[in-house]
Amino acid sequence: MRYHFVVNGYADDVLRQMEEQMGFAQKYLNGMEQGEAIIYCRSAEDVQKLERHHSKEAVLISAREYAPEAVLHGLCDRIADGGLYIFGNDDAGTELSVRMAARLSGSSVTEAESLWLSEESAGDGELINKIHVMKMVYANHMEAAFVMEREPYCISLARGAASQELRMGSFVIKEEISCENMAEHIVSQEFYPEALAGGLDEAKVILAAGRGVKNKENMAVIDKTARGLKAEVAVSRPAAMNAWKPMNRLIGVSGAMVGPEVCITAGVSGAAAFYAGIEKSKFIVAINTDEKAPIMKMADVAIVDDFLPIMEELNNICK
Amino acid sequence: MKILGCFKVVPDLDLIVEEDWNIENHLHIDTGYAKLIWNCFDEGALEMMLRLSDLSEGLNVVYKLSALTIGRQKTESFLKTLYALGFSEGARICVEEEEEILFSPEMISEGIANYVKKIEGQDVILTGIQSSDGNNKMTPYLLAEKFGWPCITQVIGLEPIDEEQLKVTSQVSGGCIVRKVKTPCVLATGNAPCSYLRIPTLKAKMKLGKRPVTRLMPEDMGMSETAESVRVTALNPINRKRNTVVIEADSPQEKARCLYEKYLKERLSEL
Ligand SMILES: Cc1cc2nc3c(=O)[nH]c(=O)nc-3n(C[C@H](O)[C@H](O)[C@H](O)COP(=O)(O)OP(=O)(O)OC[C@H]3O[C@@H](n4cnc5c(N)ncnc54)[C@H](O)[C@@H]3O)c2cc1C
Repeated sequence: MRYHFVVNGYADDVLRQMEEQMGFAQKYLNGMEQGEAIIYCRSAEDVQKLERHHSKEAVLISAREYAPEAVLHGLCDRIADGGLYIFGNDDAGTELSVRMAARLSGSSVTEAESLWLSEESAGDGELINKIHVMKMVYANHMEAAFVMEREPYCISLARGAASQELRMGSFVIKEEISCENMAEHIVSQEFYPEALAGGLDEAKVILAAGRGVKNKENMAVIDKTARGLKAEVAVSRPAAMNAWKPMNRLIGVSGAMVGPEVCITAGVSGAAAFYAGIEKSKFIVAINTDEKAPIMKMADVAIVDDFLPIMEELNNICK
Repeated sequence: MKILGCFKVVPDLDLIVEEDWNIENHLHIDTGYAKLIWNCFDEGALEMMLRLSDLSEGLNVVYKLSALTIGRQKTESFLKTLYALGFSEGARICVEEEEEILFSPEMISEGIANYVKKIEGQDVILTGIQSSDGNNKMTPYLLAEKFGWPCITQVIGLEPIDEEQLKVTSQVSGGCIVRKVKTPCVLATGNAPCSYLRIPTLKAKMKLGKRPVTRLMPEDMGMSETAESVRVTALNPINRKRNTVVIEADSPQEKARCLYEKYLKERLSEL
């Protein structure tokens, strides 16, 4: 069996996605033969500009604007054999892997954490390879193993996986398939960039507020303390849903996955879907009125108390 | 325009006690005692449908809102809430065992597709991007493939245009995209801000919430023949505990000072 990387050349973080694909292959696909990469992108020029590669050769599926339907058309037309297709860790990767498998009667697993092969007898004495994949389920409370039954096997990767440095130099482009004007359902579209996320990804100190902060006025206290601590402010899902902060400040499986030196949480219970986003922090502080909240066992230091006087005092100290 | 909101009623996983996550040799968790809630992304989808309908007042477009869930008898109270909020159709495909619909996105999408094909045709199908228990992230995409319809994912807003088109806002890396989209299509709802479902008035509940829910059997919706191409084989607990030190002191101010002096000062100065 061969494996292929499928790359989102439209993504701003394409290099990081490729590094994680490389990391995944190195860890779990040792010994398996690698086939050409498939890159969906604006143009061959964009791909050349990366000046990095993780497969020798690549087939491009190009269109000025990304539309999953156009990519799928190019992708499914092109794929003759079975094999394993490894998509990146973004929404496009997830959607395309599922739809490609459905179209080609294969099987798919989204947000895969790891993969292994087993040999099973096919009944007639012959041995066949089976692909097994591990992923998070129950909103990150548990990890499940799945066996995939049908080729082609299409998986998208979980975010935050180990990465591996890419090779220097460009892909050798074998073929370019143009898929322009295939999204007939889109009458018009416009992109609205949002105010900068403030670099949660690179932040060294993060102050994360949860539902326990209770309202927007209290968020102002969090903001003030964060300034004193030189921390970036982040929020849990309920705090973002209540618009106490914009969605781009959300931490967790559906938001940013961060790894600061210090992460202080205030009024956060520590649900698994949130915690997955801060798990990589070197040092975690939890402030919560409930000593039984899950976060109180997953932090390095915990304070059982109301967050408000704690924040105010920290702010005084930092002055 | 006919719009179907597909939703799952899920146990509130934040209420599952720690011991219950630490089971071994099971392929599902007993969540029977937890409170049932709307799956968070689906809740956002249903509220967006209601807002779309609000926005259409005075315009030349009428939205017929329907809702479909696959699950237990207990989920019917959720459908009745939707009736009270103005949905005109509510249907349940009756599956009583939670584990049957946990890791079965192919079966679920087959059920939804057959509902749309055999019972109520639709112009738009809305779902959440994933459910909190199975986390499969597949159903909307499988539906798009079953119908040959386009799909937009991470949808966070809907606005009316006319009987054939919708304005759809979706979240993408670095911002959002607003599109004018021709129907039919499948829309997968993501993190839509301020999208908790509104609460019906008592009067609306009395007047509208009593209508019976349409009950359908999985075998009539093609679900029994659907074999999943991916099978769960094991479920493992995860240990995320650290050796937590709890700061003890008489006042919150003292605790804050202790936190700073002992644990933060040096770490912050090194940065
Ligand atoms: C598929 C899926 C994906 C999800 N993705 C994410 C995600 O990416 N990010 C995310 O955050 N969540 C996510 N969630 C939701 C997650 O499961 C939790 O519901 C959420 O993280 C809870 O947020 P919280 O801790 O702020 O609120 P709660 O769980 O309500 O906790 C509030 C805490 O504040 C404490 N508190 C109250 N008052 C005070 C006070 N005065 N001082 C100090 N403490 C106080 C309480 O004791 C409580 O522990 C997801 C859920 C699902 C199903």
